[in-house]
Amino acid sequence: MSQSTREYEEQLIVRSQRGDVNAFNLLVLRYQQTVYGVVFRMLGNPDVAADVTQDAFIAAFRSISTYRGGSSFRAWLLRIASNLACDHWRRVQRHPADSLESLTDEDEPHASDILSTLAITGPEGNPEERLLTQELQALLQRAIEQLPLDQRVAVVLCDIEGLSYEEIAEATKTNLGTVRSRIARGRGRLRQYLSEHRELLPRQYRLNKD
Amino acid sequence: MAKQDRHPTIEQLSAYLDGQLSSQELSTWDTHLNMCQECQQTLAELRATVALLHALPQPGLPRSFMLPVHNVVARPAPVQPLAPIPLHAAPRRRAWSFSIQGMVRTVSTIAAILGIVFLLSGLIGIAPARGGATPTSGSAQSQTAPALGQQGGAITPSIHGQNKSPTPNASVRTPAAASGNHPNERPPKGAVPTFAQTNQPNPWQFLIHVFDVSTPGGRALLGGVLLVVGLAGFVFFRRL
Repeated sequence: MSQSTREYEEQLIVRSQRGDVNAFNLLVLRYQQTVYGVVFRMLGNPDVAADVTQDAFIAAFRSISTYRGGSSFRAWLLRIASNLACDHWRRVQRHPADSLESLTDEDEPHASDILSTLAITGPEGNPEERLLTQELQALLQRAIEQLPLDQRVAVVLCDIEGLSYEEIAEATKTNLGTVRSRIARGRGRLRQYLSEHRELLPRQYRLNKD
Repeated sequence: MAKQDRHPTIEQLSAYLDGQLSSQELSTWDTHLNMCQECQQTLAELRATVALLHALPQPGLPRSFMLPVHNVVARPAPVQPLAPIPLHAAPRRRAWSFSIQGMVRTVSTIAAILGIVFLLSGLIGIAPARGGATPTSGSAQSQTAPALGQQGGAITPSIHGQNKSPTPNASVRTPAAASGNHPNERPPKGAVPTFAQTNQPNPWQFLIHVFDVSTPGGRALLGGVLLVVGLAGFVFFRRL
């Protein structure tokens, strides 16, 4: 973030702390894609993610006086959002019968469907191959959702949102060593899960090179 | 011992990908990583996993998550709170729209004060000095009350009107007289002007008939009603 952008953002935060909802909404505009993206990848359901995202911004406005300038506002916001997402996930896990809808409503695709879809991709090296099919996206999403919550947050923040280890440490209120450990274990689990479904992966992503 | 027997942990390999190995770890493993097939295989798999995650598309934003401005259910815990309406602890109340509430309360206050004035005027008029009933000099109207009447000429611009014989000022009774600056001035003596509104163009004829402010009884009645309405409005909107 450039210096002027940072200063502008700090002004918005100060005004928000004085109760200026319009200023806070400018912050919402800036960060809502990021927050929604994280929550969605953590929970897998777009409607649930929207609710949790809205709750997160309300909670953020309510507690904005606790934000200390000088630290990453994005990390502060994502901490609130990821905590709410974890709360939601745990609630659903405890009382699955109470949830009106399952968190992931995507059915397991048949292997033959996936193979035929993958066959549509272009020759190796073609940029089209870089686009993931819907089925592959679903597979990845399932893989993410089988991670324990702490690893899930770490991997989503690092490998999907691109936060630095330092920012992730702020967002999770932990230290760098813990962040490093969780990311590594999360990636390891994902690698394991994906290798069990390796026939579904495009050639360039095949984990066991022949 | 062959270096190949010892390998870095998955955690170290993952940190290596992110450039997060300490310098000590790097010096320990750098050579090994360059030569060990097994570790290179693991690294490649980790890289592929990360690449897949990178390739996931950003989900489309289903809607805007901006907070509503006029019905904010969550006020921030005030650091330096905006307190547009000082009569109440701001964080506790749902803020509809401060402007509307403030306006209503102001109007209610005006109505209540006018009510008191009329009431007193009426009561005093009932008492001995009947003299107040006549078209007084409207002297009391010293000021303002300019904006009193948007409603169709019911209120003649009055108050400078001592010379305006026909009813200097008419029925101030419209509570919509939200000029806010005005009613405190009326001294509660019988000098309240006549509102004999003779030349009233009329939708007000009915009200004028009921609240005939040319009589002290009418004034008292009007005053009482205004006072009650004003107090009710004030209290009601205060509780919100």
